[in-house]
Amino acid sequence: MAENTESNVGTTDGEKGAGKTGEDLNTMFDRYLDEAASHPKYANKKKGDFLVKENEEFLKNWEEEIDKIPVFMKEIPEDAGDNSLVAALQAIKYDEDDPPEELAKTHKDDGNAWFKKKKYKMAITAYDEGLKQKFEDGELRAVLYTNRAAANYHLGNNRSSLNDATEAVKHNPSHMKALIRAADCCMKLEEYSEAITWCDKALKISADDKRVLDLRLAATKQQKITERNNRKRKTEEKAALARRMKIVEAIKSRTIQFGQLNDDQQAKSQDQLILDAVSSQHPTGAAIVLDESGNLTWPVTFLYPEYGQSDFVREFHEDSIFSDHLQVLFEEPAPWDKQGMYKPHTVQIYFHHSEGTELVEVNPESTLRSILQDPRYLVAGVPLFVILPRGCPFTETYLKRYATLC
Amino acid sequence: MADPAVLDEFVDFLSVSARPDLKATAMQQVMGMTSSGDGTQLLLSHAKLLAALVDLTQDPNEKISADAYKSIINLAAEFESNEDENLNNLISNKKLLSVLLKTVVEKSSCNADNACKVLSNLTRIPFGCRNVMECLGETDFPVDLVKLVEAFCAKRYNEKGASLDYLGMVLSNLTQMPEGREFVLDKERCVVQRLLPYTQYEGSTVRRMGAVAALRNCCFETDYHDWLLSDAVDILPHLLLPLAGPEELSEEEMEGMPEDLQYLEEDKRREENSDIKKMLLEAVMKLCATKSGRKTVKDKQTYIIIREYHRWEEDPSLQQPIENLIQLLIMDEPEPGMENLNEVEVPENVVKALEQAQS
Repeated sequence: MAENTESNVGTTDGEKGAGKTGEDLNTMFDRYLDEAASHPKYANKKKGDFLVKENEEFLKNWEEEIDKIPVFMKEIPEDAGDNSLVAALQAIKYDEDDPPEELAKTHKDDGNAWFKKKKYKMAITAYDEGLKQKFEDGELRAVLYTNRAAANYHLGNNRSSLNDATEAVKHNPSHMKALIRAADCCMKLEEYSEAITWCDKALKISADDKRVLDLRLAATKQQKITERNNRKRKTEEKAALARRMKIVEAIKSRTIQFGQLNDDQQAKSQDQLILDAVSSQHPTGAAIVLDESGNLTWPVTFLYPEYGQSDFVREFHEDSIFSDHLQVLFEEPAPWDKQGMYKPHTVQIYFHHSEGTELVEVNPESTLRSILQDPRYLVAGVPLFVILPRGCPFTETYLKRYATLC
Repeated sequence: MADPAVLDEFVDFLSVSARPDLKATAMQQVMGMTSSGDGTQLLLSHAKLLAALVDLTQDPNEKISADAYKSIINLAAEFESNEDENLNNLISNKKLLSVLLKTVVEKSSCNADNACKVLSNLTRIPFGCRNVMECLGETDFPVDLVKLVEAFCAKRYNEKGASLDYLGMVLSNLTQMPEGREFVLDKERCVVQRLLPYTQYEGSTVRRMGAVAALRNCCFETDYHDWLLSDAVDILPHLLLPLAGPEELSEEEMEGMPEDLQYLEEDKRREENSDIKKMLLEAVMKLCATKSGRKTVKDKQTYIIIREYHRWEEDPSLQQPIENLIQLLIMDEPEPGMENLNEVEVPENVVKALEQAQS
C-alpha cells in the first residue's frame, strides 16, 4: 500500500467508450489505419520490396504514431506548447461548466497518473489545479493534499510534504495516510518528538497499525540517540573549555601581554584576548599547548621581510632557546636565500615594541618564555618574530625605517 | 443532626431541582459532615442521600457540583479496609462509577480532576478496583482503559485546565489487577510505552508516582520481562534515569549503558520522593528475577548507576533496598535450577529462622 496515490471516489475514465459508440470508434479506427497507410509518408513511391518495408515500418510504429494524435493521446505531452487541438481537447476534459468537485477529481486522476509514472512535478501541478477548485468535500481535499504530500516527499521536499500532510489532516483528521506521511516527514527532518506526536495521532485512529508502531519505535530510538549526542557534545565542549581555561590561567600567571588583532571589531579585555588566542586553531592544527608538567608550547611565526617569506614553527617550548630553533630553520639554506645570507649565526632576531613600531633585538640564547614576558612584547594571535641578516644594507634601512616611523 | 430521620428530610433540599439557596446551604452542611468519621459513616449509611449527592455532581451550578465532588472524595478517602459495608454502598454505586469515568474523559468538564481523585480513592481497595474494571469492560460503556490512558498521556487533554494527574493513581491501582496489567502490556498496542516518559515528569509528584507505580506493577509479570527490556519498550532506562545523577562517568563505564543515561548534564537531579525511589528500585529488582532479564539489566551497566545513587542517597529507609539490588547485580549467577528467583523454593527451616529474626 505504501506508495500508491489514492483514487477514493469513482473514477471517470474507462467505461464510457463501450457499447454502440465503441463499434463506431472501431470502424473509425480501421478507416484511419487505411488512410494512414496510404499517407504520403508511408505511401509507396517505388514498387516491390520497398513498399512492404514502409508498411512494416508503419505497422511497427503505429501505436506510437497514434499516441501523437491529440484525440488518442494518453497523456498531455510535456512539450505540448501551442498545439491548439490539444488545448481544445483539454477544454473538453476540464469543462468549466462542470461542477468544481468533478474538475478537482479529474485533476486528481491526472495527478495520480503522473505519479504512477514518477513524474512528481507534473503530479504536483495537477494536484495544485485540483486544490484551486472551490468545493466543499473535505475528504477529496484531504486526498489531494495527501497525494501532493506524497509527490513532494518523493522529490525530497520534506517540509512541503509535511505542510501538505498537516493540511490534509485538517480536512480529514482520521486520514491515516496523511498522518503516517507527516510522521515520516518528521523523521526525515529529524524532528523526532514531532514524529512521535503524529504517530500517537495515528494510533488513536488505528491502535495496532504495525507501520505506525514501528515508526514510533524508530523515532523514540533516534530521539534518544540525538539527545545523547547533544549531551555528549555539550560535555565535550565543556571539557575543552576547561582545558582552555587552564591554559589561559597558565598564560596569565606568566604575565604575558596580549594585544588586539587588526580584525578585532571592538576592544577586548586581556582575558578575552588570551582566550581567543588559546581557542584559535591555526589551519595546520597547531595551538598553544599546556603539557603535564605545566609548561607551555607555542606556535611561533618567523618573518623574513627581505624576501617576503616566513616560517611557521608548530611547537616552540617556552623554555627552549631561539638559537636552537635557528639551528633547525637554517640547517639547509632556504631556497629563496640566493646569496647565502641566512645562517644560524648570521641572522638577528627582532620583535616589534609594544608601543610604537621600533624593533627590539632578541638575544638568541634567551628562552621564548623570557621574551614573551618582556614588558615590551605583545602577543597578537601567534607570537611573531622578525629575522634579518646581520650587517646587510637591507637590515640597516629596515631598522631605521621602523625606528623613525613612530 | 446525627439522626438518620433528620437526614431523610434533608434529602429534599439536595435534589437538583431544589431552591438554589437552600441547596447551597444543605450542600455546605453535608460537606461539613464529611470531615468527621461519624459524619461519613452516617452519610454512607443513607442510600437516598448518597444518591442525591451523586446527582448533585451534575448540578449546573459549578460551586454545587464541585462541593458534591469534594464530599464524595472525603467519603471515599475515609476507608482503608475492604470490609466496611457502608463503603461498599459507595463503591457498588454503578451510577457513581459511570458518572466519574465519563467526567474524567469529558474534555470540557470542570470536575475531571475531582472525578480522578474519587476514582483514585475508590480503586485503592481491590473491591473498588474490580468494580471500576467491570464498568470499563462493559461493551456498551463509552469509556474504556484505552480512553483513560489516552486522556492521561495527552497534553492539555482537559480544556478547563484539569491536569488529570490523579488518573495516574487510578492506573496504578488498576494495574494491581491482572486484567489491568494485561491491558497495559498489550504487545500489539502502544500503552506501556506511553507511560514511560512520566517517570521523569517534573510537573507533578502525583503523576510521577502513578506512572512509576503502574510500571512497577507491570514488572511483576515475569513473562513480559524480555519484552519490557527489549527495544520495543526499553523500560530500564526510564526506571534508572530518576535515580541517575550528574556524576561524570568514564567512557568505559558508559559503554553499553542505554543512551538515555549517558553524558547526563551537571544539573541532572535525582527523584526526591522516597516512595517513588523505592518503587523504582523494586521494579528493577523484579526485572532481575529471570536469568535473561538479569543479564540485560547487568549488561546495561545498571550497577554503575545504582553505585553512584547509593553514594548519594541519605534516606536510611532506602539503604536496604539499594543494597539488595546491588547484591543482585554483583553476585555470581545462581546454580542451574535456581535461576528464576521468583520460583526458588525457600526451605521451611530457613523461612522459620527468617521469621524469628524479624520478630
